[in-house]
Amino acid sequence: MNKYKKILVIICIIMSCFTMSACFSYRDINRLLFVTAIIIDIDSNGSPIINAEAYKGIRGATPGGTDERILFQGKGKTMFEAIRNMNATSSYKLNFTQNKAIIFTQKAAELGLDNFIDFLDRDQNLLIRPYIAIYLGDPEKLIKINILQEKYIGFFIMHLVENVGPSSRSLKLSLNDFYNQRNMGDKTNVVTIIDIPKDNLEQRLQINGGAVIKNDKMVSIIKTEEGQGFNFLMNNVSSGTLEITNPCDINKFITLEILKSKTKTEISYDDNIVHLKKKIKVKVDFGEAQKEIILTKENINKIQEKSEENIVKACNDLFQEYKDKGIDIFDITQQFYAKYPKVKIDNIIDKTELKVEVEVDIMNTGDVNNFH
Amino acid sequence: MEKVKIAYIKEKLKNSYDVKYREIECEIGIIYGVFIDDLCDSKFISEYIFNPLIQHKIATVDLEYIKKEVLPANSIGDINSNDEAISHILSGDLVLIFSFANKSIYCEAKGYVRRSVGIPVTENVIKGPREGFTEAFVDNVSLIRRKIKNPDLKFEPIILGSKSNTVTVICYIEGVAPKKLVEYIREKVTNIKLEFILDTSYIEEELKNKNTAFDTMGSTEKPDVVASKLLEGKIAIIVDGTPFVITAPYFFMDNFQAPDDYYSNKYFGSLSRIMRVVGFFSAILLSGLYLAIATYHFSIIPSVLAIKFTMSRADVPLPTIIELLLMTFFFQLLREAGIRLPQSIGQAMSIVGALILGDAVVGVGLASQSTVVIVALSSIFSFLVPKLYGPLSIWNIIIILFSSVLGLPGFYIGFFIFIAHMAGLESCGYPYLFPLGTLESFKFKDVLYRKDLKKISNSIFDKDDYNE
Repeated sequence: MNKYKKILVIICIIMSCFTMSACFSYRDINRLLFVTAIIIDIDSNGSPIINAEAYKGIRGATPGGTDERILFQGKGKTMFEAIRNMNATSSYKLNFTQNKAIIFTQKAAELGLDNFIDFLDRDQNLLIRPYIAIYLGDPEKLIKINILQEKYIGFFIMHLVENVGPSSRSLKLSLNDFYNQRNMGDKTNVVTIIDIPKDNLEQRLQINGGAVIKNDKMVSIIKTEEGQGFNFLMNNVSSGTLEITNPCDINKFITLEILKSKTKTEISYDDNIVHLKKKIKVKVDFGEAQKEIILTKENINKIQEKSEENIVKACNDLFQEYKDKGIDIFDITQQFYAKYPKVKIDNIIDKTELKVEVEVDIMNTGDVNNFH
Repeated sequence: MEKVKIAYIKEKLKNSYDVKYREIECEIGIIYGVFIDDLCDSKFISEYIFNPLIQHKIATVDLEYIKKEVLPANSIGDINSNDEAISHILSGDLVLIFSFANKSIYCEAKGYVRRSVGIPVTENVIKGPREGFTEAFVDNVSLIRRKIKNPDLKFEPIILGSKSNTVTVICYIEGVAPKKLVEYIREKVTNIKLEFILDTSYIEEELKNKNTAFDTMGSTEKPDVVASKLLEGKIAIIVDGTPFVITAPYFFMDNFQAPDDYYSNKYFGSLSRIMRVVGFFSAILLSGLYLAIATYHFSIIPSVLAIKFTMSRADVPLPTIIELLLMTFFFQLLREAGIRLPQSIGQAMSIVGALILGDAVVGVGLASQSTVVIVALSSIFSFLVPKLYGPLSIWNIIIILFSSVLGLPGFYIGFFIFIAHMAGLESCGYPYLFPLGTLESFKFKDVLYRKDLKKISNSIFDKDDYNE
């Protein structure tokens, strides 16, 4: 390479440094405020009110420093304006790359999420990674909540949603899945509901069922008890528990711990009826028995039959409820058109017959080694 | 043949107190003995050269008779010119000039002070031979000869340096080293036009790639390493006066091979080598990657770490790039100071360094703990491959600068330029990244991991190289 070419290459590199920087420009991490949760509410006119929590590093007594939780509120006619107004009250620029939760209030969800999500999708600063949730109470109470377990509600919700495994009744949804679901099939989503439990020893948050969002508007609520049926039907169960009556004492319960669950879906169309078959295979461990249990072959069979019966009932009940409401929360429309793209049916769930086949396999009954 | 004149020699070597002249009277003339006291073994000269000459009362002009019957010295030869006579004197030989004959002769009588064979300081091994080269090239040749008892092992001497007349020896195994490689090195070394040669670096500079921080010529203090390179088909260049021997060609992956790899368990040897490779790339890339992520791409930092970064950088007045360069500079200062200082002061220096870098800088808010950790980690990684310390330090800064202006795209651009630069280098006409990238003859078995010795103990060159 001759001298002039070298100079040309160096000039090109220097120019590219300025031209390619675009919106990703150099910024020191301590000169930003990282938002961890956004709560979107509306006022009486339907204009958005944004509440956000952010963290800021401050120099404490130790060289390691410490962090501080800072709350912001912004109002405007649009989301963008509200966020800009919120930024106007901050000494450092608000950065949304560490945002973990986007929470809509019930009012905002009922008005329609389509009023807000375009900004969340369009802005480069916002990621598709956070979890989306609906909060049924007062947003100010939520943003000011003091959870001892975790300082930031954004992180708390993230951990809470990621920890839904222990409960097969909890529901979870990320913003990315939400974007996908709102454009597919029946355009129905089930979004996690969070609330502050009333009878708890200290303040915290819990997942309390799911909000059904159809065409971006909240139309119904799936209660926690119904969550299990929904999760089994949607193949969302990875762990959790099944509680059934004790075959040795009908007033007592036994608990089976779910080790693995797999739901296979078969869909067929025949005689103007959509046949939806769900084959659910569950592997469980024997977890606990109230009072006592004698694990004879007969009792084990009874436990299996009863647990299968419970799952079938939970699934059928939920399905029937939403069939009556005419809301397809089970992605039947999407699955149907994937298989029968040329058949056009209005409101598929009305013409759907569900058949649930459950197979519960008790893997291990466990040994009690020591009574003392 | 030119008759050697004592007057010429005396004129040339005047004002040198160590040049000794001895005259022996015999029946038909005078025999002059010229030698340098400090380079020769005086006892040997007295006992085995001057004594027999005196005892025999020379009465013949037949020098062949004197060489065969009178002098018991083991190495005797003819001298053809005055300059050759001076060269022999300066090399530690005794030159005998006969006033009654046209010829002169020299007798080898070297006996200067030599450092004994010791443990090489720069190349410690846990297991394996511990002997290292010395400054005397004859010792170094003997150390190699002892390892390879093969008649095809050749040592070609070349005198370099118009003023220093330094003996340089090209060493190779005929039939193992490709002919074109031997010719290439021979031609290059012969054409070196320098006034003096004090170290191998004078020859290295002529042979290696220009405009790069990478050494495209190898250098070692260990005879076993040279032996293994010779057996691979490479060439060694020994320079009188330095314990370092050049090996050529020298490839990038040679930097990661340590003698221990071949003397210890192959699995551990392979693990160590992989660690060195990972260490090298980590040392080059870690700081740049940290800068790119911590100043542009906050979304890929795990939340807990992002909080820690923010906390540790709170109230640090300097931008991250300046902070990082400053800490790297501090470390380079410490390292440079540590190398030059005696060991006893060096320890005190380390304590001061550790306090300044590890605590005080963070305490006064000049740097954050996270940056200190990154620079410290980068430095530790760099110690895994001391041979690559130079290029590593330079490219580390280049990649930091690229990352600071463009973030991760800049980091990738810097990395690609780094790889492209290495791929463009050559060592004695062979690609520096060999065998990486040479897919047809990809010899992976001794690159990232060490295979069984019997499978890797052969020439690394292609058969085509021998046919050219």
